[in-house]
Amino acid sequence: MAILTTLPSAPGAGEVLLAAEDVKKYYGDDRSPVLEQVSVELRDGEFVALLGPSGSGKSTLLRILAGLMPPSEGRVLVHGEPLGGPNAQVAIVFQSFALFPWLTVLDNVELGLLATGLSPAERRARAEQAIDMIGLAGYEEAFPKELSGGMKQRVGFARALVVHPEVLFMDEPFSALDVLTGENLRQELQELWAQHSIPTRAVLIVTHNIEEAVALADRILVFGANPGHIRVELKGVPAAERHVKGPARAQLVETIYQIMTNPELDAAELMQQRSLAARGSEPKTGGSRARRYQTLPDVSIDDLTGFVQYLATVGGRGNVHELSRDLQMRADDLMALVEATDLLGLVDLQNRHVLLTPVGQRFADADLDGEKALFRQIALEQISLLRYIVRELETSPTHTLEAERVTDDLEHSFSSEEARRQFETVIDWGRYAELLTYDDSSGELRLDEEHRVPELPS
Amino acid sequence: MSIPSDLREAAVVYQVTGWRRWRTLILPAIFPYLVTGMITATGGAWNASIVSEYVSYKGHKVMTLGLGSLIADAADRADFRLLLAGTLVMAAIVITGNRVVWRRLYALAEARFRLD
Repeated sequence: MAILTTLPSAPGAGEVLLAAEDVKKYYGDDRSPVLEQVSVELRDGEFVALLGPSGSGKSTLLRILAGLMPPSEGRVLVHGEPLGGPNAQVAIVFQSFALFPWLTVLDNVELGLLATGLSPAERRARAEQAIDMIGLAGYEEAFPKELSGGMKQRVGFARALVVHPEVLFMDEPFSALDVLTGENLRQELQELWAQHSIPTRAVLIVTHNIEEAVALADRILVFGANPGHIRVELKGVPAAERHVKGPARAQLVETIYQIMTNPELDAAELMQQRSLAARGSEPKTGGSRARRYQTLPDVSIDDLTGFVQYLATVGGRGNVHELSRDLQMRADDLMALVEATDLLGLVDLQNRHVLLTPVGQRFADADLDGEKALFRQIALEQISLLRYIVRELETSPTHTLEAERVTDDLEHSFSSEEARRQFETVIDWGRYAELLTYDDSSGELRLDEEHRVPELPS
Repeated sequence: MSIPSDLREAAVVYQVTGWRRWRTLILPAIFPYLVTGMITATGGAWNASIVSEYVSYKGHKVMTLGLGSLIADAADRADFRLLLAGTLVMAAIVITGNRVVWRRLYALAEARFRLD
């Protein structure tokens, strides 16, 4: 059974445009279920995200709502009327773009208008308009294979929006694009939606990217797998705070992360635990099911120290946008740096301004040895993973530790890819701090002999 | 089977139906296979018709006018010059057909109708 926490609908959300009622889907003779009983409503004015790991049935639900496949049980209602075939109110943006390779950009965009009975001139005019709006002007006669991934997906968007769909479906629309391209396109879409430049009344996005869901949605349905079901329904970040990275977004991302990395736990219970933890003075590490280590941003020590030095030279403060521009860094990468230095207490982030803390100032002023000594101290205080590793090394009679033990441990909290990244980052930082050495060929961590840590902060 | 499912879904979503579905989805998507099929079929058909132009059965010869019967008859009568000429004409027809028709269709299939 799906657990559906009913929440007050988003402000301005009105009439139910589209609904799934107790929808189930199974395949094959053994009726193996892909989607367990699911009920969803999509209301006027809403942007809803279906978020979950692969195999959680979120794409299946999207296809059922679009009328591309019938549900095995239950029904889909469009404006209260049962849906019997393809849903004419819906346009879809596909993960794979789904462009017709033998048609030009213009013909691909016009495709959706063929069935509308518009005259060829009207079709052309509307397609041109959509192409302009989505930033494809000049590419009308190009074939899809001449375009980059980002441009292809723009065609996908233009084709969907040109039909003025009442509801827009997006199936992992940015996941085949590189990060920067995807983010860019996402922001443009967000603007079109926020400024009501498109007549679309509701949007449904399927994604496995937490950040993406949080950045876009009024409402987020978190799916679980085996078989697919809705684990919990969450309210999105208020629209005003949604378009910038900030505490509201970070907190929701963290909550969802917790839910998704603990698939065996009851999501409602998890959320309760989190709200209790938030009420306490300090988030405690090592709590019953809380993640043991904080997530280290993927930042090299060179960038980290360079960033603090740079901040000191520009007066100890800087606006995030200006920093990103002046350092010629992608916003993502800069935010990772800010996060890392913030984690270490070297900077403070206030309203898009990065401020060097007194400790940060001392760090910037120190010579190399002083820098390392200070880093050693604060890293041990702030970075729980590093503290854990050093403590293990200290207590080991040989002062060594198998790297595998650390990565295995990390894999309880992170995906194996992320665990690897976390490990590499902590090694990078630990080496710089002269706390440990690491031999990649033997996979052995060793305590740095010169710097036995006299006492560890507990 | 050769039609990608995302394109089929797009055709359904954007209500491309009937003859339009054939023209924008099915025929272009199967075009490369269609060309290959046509080459095989044409070759096979021509082969069969050439053979059937000249049938010899229990001492009876049944033949009709054509390149196939010319070659077979020449071989029968050991007229090697005619046999060579007939074979060369046949090779020329195959090569011309390849150049003029099939290669161009293949090139078109490769350039416009490739799915990847």
